[in-house]
Amino acid sequence: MSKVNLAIFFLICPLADIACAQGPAAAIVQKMEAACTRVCHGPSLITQQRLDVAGWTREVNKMVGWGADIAGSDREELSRYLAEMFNNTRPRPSSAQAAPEGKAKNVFQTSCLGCHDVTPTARIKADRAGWMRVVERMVNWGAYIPPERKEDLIDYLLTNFAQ
Amino acid sequence: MNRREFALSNAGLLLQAATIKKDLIIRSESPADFETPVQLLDKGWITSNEDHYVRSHLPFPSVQLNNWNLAVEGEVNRSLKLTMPDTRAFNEVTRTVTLECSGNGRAFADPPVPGLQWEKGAVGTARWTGIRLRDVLMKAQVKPAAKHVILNGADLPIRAVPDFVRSIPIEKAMHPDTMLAYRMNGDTIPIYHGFPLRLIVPGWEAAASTKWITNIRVSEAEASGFFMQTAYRIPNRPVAPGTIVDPKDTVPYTALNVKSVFTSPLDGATVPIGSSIQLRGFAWAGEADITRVDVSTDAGRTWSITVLDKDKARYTWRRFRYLWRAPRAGSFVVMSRATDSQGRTQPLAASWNPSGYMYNVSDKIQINVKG
Repeated sequence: MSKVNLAIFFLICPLADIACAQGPAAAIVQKMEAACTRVCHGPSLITQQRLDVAGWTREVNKMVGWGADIAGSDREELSRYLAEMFNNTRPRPSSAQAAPEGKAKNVFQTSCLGCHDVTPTARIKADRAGWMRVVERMVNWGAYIPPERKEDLIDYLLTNFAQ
Repeated sequence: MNRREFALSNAGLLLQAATIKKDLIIRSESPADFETPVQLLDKGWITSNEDHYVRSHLPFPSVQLNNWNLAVEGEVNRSLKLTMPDTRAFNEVTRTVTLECSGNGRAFADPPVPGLQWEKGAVGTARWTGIRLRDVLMKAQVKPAAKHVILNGADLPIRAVPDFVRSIPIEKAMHPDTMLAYRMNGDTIPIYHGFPLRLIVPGWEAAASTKWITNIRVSEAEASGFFMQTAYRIPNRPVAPGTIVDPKDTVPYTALNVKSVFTSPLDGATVPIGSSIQLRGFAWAGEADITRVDVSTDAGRTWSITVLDKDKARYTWRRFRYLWRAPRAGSFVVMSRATDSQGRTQPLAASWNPSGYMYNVSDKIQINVKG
């Protein structure tokens, strides 16, 4: 895909939900996307953090001070949501050494390892169709995987993890 | 959509990220913050432009050389407005410098702290070519009242995000090794490393080495903004993990700590029993020189001195090597500990601070030996 086509693709398909955009959290996630990840920075800046409610509250307030358009009534809910999703009981964002080499290593690091480490991936034994189902489930749970890299990612998972 | 709006769009941000070598670890896709995996650092004493880590606070600026200017103003007798050809009229210098992000190792803070979760690879060594900052300041005739030099780049903040403006004391600005660089490893500096002009403050944490420089203001006071008065500061006394520290109880972080990291083998490597393994990595110490690096293959119970490579320069890292014969089957904790010319040695335990700066605990990798 050329850079121009890539640009057009991403213009009409903006960086999507960084976490569960379905269910009860959908509304606050959409507000977060509108105020944060579609405006000032990408989702990785959020998914790599491991903070408690107090820590997330400080970060949310700091961002509001820097111009993030988050209504006062939404700030507590957003801080609680972020602390639930990205707290210190979650695995640490994975190191480079943990991700095997391969064409889709960056996709794996960015789209997957922000939320979990390699361990649950390495435990899965699946064929191509099985990995496809796993990837689709993760997308439904909010993982952002660029559609044109999905096949590369599945090849990568097939190559590097047990079938 | 103008260029700036495009740069801030998802497409623009991703295109910026796409210009970086794919092997780097994406800590943030936008702004672009990419870490070098240690196995890429292992390639050599000099880190290539493509492999060198990238730190940005704001989207890359759009730079047009035909209307680019460097303004020098403030506490000077003669304000300057230099074009790029003007900058070439000064004497050219080249310095090899190890740059390290002040938050390198933040991911190991316990409890975790906010910020980019760098592990070991927000560090690299490049050969920078340019002109001395002091020569520019002397041409502008700095007034006696000058105490600080404030540097601003062409990168622009979004909404109410503070501009990335930093300052360095006049003594460091006038040091003959502090430079305005226009080449990196012999090539024009890539945009993500600060094209067309980047300050290089050797030995100091790399946030001092401001990118995309367009404005130099000589001042009686240091820069007043967030990135000088709140960020890049450390508590003025040791604090308990998790403590909230008021910025007024902090001091700027300037010269780098003494530190070392293994670049080979990788953490978790498996080697055959009886094989000879070269344990190697890099050690650096900011404004000081590395005098020795020790390694332990028994979790710190005993230490052995390593051999340092001949490649060295002031402000650069030294490569260390140690040949280890994997003695028996098992999993071994291998550690490195650097010592510098100021008598500093890496600690075995971390001192926590609220931003995860200055992490320099002895590096540790696990090596599995199989029969």
